[in-house]
Amino acid sequence: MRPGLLFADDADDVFRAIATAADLNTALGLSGPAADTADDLGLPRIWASMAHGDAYLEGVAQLVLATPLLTTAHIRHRQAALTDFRANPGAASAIYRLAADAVEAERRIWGAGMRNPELVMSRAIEVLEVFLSALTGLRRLAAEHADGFTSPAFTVFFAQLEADVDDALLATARGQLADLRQRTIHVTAALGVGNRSGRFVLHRPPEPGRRLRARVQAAALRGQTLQVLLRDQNAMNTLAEVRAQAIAPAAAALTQSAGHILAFFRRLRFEMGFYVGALNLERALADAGVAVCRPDPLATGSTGSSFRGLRDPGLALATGRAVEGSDLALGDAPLVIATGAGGGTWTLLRAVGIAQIMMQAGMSVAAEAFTADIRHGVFTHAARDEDGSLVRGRLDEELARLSAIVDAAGPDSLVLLNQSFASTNEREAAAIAHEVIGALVDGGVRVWFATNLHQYAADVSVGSPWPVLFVRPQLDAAGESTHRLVAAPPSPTGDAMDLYERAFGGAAEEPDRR
Amino acid sequence: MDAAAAADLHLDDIARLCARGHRAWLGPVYLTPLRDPDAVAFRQEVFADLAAPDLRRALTAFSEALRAAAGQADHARALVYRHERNWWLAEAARTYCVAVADVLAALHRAAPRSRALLAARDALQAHAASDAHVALAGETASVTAGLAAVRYRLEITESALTVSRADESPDFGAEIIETFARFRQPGAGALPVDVFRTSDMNTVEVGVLERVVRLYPAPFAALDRFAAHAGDCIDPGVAALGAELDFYIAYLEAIEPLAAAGLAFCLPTLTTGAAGFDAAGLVDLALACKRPEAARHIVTNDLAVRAGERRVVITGANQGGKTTLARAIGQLHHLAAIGVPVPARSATLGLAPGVHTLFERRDDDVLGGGLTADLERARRTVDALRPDSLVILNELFSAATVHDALALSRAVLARIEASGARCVVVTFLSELAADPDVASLVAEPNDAEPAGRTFRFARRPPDGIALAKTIADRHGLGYASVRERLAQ
Repeated sequence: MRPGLLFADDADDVFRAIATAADLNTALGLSGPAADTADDLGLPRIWASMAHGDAYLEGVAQLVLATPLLTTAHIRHRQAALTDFRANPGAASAIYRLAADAVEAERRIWGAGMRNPELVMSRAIEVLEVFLSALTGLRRLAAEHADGFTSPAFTVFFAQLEADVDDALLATARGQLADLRQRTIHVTAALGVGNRSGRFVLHRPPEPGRRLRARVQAAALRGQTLQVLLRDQNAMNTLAEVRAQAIAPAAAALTQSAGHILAFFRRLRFEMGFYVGALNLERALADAGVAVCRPDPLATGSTGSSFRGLRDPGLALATGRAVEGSDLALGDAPLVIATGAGGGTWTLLRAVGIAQIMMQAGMSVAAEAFTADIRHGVFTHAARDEDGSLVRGRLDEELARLSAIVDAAGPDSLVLLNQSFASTNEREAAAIAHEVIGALVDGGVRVWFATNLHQYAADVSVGSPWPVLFVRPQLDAAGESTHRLVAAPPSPTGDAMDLYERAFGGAAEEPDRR
Repeated sequence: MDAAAAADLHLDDIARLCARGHRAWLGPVYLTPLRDPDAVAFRQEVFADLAAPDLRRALTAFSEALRAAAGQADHARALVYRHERNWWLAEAARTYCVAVADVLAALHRAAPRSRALLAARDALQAHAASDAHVALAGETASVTAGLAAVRYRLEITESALTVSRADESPDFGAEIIETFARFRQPGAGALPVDVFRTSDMNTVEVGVLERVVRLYPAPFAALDRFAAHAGDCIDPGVAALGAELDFYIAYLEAIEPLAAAGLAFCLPTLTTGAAGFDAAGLVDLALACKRPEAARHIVTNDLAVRAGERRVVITGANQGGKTTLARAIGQLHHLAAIGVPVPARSATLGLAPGVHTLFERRDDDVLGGGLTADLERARRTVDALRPDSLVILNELFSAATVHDALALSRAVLARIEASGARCVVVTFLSELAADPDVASLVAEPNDAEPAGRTFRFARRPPDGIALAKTIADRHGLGYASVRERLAQ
């Protein structure tokens, strides 16, 4: 039995081990380009918002966002489940809490690492008691609320619950646990190495009726009974050894069964936890006045990506208010070049990156409408600096990082470049940019390039083998850049002279041409 | 071969590698050369048969099974409780009978061609068909089958065990697994319980068994009868066969990692009469064994020495592999003389059961003391030489002046060659290569890196210039190092 709430089918190997791990942090291990991208996009703020203070949920958020879905079917599966969750917040949270409580209760039962068969057996019995109660509770929730859920994910989950956790199972299991609690062990043995007893097969205690007959035969059996004096410690120890051997196979089977159910509850907690986090984020964005929508995924390689009112959710969460959103339609352009001063270009690139990741996690995105094709990996390349301003870093440091990205990326990735190659002069930078970006785009990668390399932008706008979309920040009434980017040809200068005028309070004097 | 020569040629390392643990008795066998070419051929034939992996696996298993059976019999003798002790005697007999049957089947399947394995097969066949063995195998099988069929029911409370006849109650463990099967997740973990067992039967188990015997006396009576006349079931001849097989198996195991890394081995062709020797792809086996993972990169050498060339002189720069090459030649001759595969792609040589060494000893720096000792050893060696001997000399008399060393070397070499033996001389005295009927091998320089080594040797007259440089290098007086030392 598997919850199946995050994945429609069994295409979830990468999840299985991690989702059922006791400690998510050690299982995760982001590094290299993936870690850089997460930092650049400001994902930690997103994770924190999803977690809403719960460290476990933060781990879930990190993992799910780091393992994007790659088909529209999988994305729709999750979107439908999320819709159900949104429509039934009470029942859904109850299921989450039940799973979390079951996992916690198991953890609190003493003796997890013990390997002595009798201790293992008695712990497994206790754990299974807890789990049977939890399963009963889960089934009750299902019976009460299943009607309010329509998504394939939840419908299948509830149906499976009803089928697997039936009265017969609960009664049988409880009866078996009661029998196992008895201190007298009944086994059949055979002769093993050295004629020692081995190959034990455990039996249920005989029925009460049979017990009467057994008592009658007890007299006859007296010669066949070996008594061990309680004060003979050595003999008691050896008796304990034989008992341990006799129940070892059954103890192993029982504790493994308990382990399977624990894995189920861990998995359920994980999957429900993701949806809890997704809704936490939606609520926080709503509080900040950011519109969210269900995105429309397209098959990898499709054209026609577009969005309306797209915003950077991380910025909204940090500042508590929404900035202007952007509307763009990419058509069939695989390359978008964003020119212009101010931080608006980088904000848009971040918004695009985060929206892509959130769409491919099955979540809502921070836009009024969003549609994009599925990408295999999102990578960012930005200057390395704490406060986010442009730093003239060494050229080879940034090229080394770009090289790592090229290694990690594939033909269907999305690469977001922020002021790349700015650490060298414009002519050289343009030459490098033509090479690298040309290779990426020809290789099938979709690229967004925020840049002030006007030579490069000019070259591309004059002639390029593929369609290119140029965008710039829209200026407000005072002539300042806003966060809203619109399609427009690249500006011939970096508005540097505007900045000069602002700083020096007037136009530059023309140099004396002599 | 004497211990000093074995140490000089690092053959003692090879012998130690092969003769580990219970195989320690084989150490001297690897160091004792055979004098009869037919005896060498006898062993080579077995190696040729063992090139077939199935046969080799079967014979290795046979040798191990015999040891296991002997171990089980020993274990039995240390036990006191009758039914436990007798079980181990029966188990030893069972292991032995199975080992004999399995190896016989393998020997029939493999169709060996060596005289040794054919004789072994015949002997084992006769042994297996003998009345005694057939009776042993039959009785062992029936006794073990009888015991294996015994099943009984135990009721264990916290202070008592009751033994009764087994009934057909269902398997509760299987029922539990079935109940929870629907929750099974893929990727089962390791067994979550540890079961501690005392090493031999404890008092409670003895009590249980006594009561089992009372319920099912027949199998134990049969076991008693078996043990009464069992004696030592392992035939000493068969045991000896297993032990001797280890000679071949141990060597093959030692060279296996090298062969797997791409090093070539072959059974050398032995010629009679005054012979030259040649080898292609020769290496120092002891060196290769030290770092098997680097065997892929070890430098090999091809050599060809004519019958009339009784002296081989190896010269070249320091640390260039001269001594290694000399060792490789010494090892080649000794390994050929014990009938094992040699570390070369191909090799042809005369049988040289006596391989001697005269290596520089740096014990005494006192001129008189050191030289006297060296000359004493040379004298003893010369006295022991025969026409088919091989002597490896390494930097002998190097403590003396060039003039004296040359004179002494010439004199000793004359005596060696008078006895008809061949010698391989590693030296910086290139004059020794100037005499007629001498094969001169010189280390090839590294064109890319003037100070680098190739570890390859070619047949050509020695370099005068290299000689001078060699001498200077030995004292740290090369141009570059003098500059460096002056700057310090």
